[in-house]
Amino acid sequence: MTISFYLNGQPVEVDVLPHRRSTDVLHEEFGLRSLHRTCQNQGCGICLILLDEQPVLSCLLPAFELRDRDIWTAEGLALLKEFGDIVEGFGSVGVRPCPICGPARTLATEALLRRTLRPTRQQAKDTAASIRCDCCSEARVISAVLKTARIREARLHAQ
Amino acid sequence: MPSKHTAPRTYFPRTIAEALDIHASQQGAVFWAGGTHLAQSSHNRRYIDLPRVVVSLGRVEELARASRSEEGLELGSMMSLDRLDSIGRNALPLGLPEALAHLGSRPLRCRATIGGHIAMRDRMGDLTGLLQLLDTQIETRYLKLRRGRRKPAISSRKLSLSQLNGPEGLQDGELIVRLSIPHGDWTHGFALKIPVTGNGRRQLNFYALARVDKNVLNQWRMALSDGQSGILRDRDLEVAMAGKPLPLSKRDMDALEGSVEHLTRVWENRPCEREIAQRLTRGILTDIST
Repeated sequence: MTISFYLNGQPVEVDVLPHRRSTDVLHEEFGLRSLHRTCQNQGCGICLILLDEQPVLSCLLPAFELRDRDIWTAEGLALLKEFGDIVEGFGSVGVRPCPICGPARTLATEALLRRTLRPTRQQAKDTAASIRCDCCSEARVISAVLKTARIREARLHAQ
Repeated sequence: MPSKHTAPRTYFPRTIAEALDIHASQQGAVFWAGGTHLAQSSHNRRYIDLPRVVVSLGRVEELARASRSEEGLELGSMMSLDRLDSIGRNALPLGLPEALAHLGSRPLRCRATIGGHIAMRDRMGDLTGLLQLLDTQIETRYLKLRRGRRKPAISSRKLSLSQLNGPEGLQDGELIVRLSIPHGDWTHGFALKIPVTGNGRRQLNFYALARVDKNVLNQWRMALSDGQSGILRDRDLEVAMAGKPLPLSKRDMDALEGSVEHLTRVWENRPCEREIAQRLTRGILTDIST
């Protein structure tokens, strides 16, 4: 099946079986190394991508669902200025996620900030809890997400 | 289920009529909503075990619409649980925001749809008990051959959520298009999901709705579920509790506890669940009374 979609802002096309897991399609066909699979499809969150601005688990997404969608991975996000807010926010509270969960945490934070610039603590907690990795404490990730939101809001107001 | 070498055929209809037509013309076709449950229960590492023919509903705009009216909330069946959550606490019926908060992580809620949630066949969705208490109605569409016509026409019917898993439930080719949740005048709503075992494999869902006016319990509804064996509910007791003054007398409280004991007898090998159900019932009635 030939599937056309937008990947990190660029139109792409790939010929794959429709029931292949999207994590593998993006990782193997497009060389996106930020995507990992660490669980048996039980929702660890490490394979998170943005699909039409929504955070979704790519391991639970069959390839056919990519058709005509706008997909973003950490590689694409890293090229946008929004990425700088997240790096600054996380860095300022001393949170340095490991290379396995870092890309997913970045995307989850971005997804939240695209929904609201003033997230509640509960929303920040949901975002932190959506990625299961022991490299940093949930409380500190929550602080990092809230700090990023303040940085993003200040930057947008300054423009 | 096909092997990894037999790729499923996939269709992307844009209207309900188109979706029903495709389903009718393709043997073994299955409507595909968010697919989270199917994908999670598929253990093949590289491929998701899909039916032979998949009719993806993600492009049918009509199914993703939501509206509010004087009667209540109308939700298209393809509305994601995340979008439902984003409607906001004030616009959702009591208990629903709490129930949604217990439902997995945001990435899962972004894919899971309300229609897919209630249509699961091998397990009971965590919202189902509460939606039943709220008198949720389901509207479906299906193709029916009418006398004197060559081509089947689209028909619709409405059914209650409790009918969904019974003999009058969804038939092959029948598509859930909408859920209607009436407003109701509840003053208290509770939705609790209690993990019974550390690994989360056993859980207890507890839902209760109450309308209290001037220290009188005018309406009371309660449902229990373990996510597997259906919804436990005692409608006779709900009727009997109406009009009771609060706090409940010892006799009324005993009747309530007796009802919970009777209801949960199907869990005879699960003393933990039964004990939790009793404690929650007592606790919530105390909470309402104060």
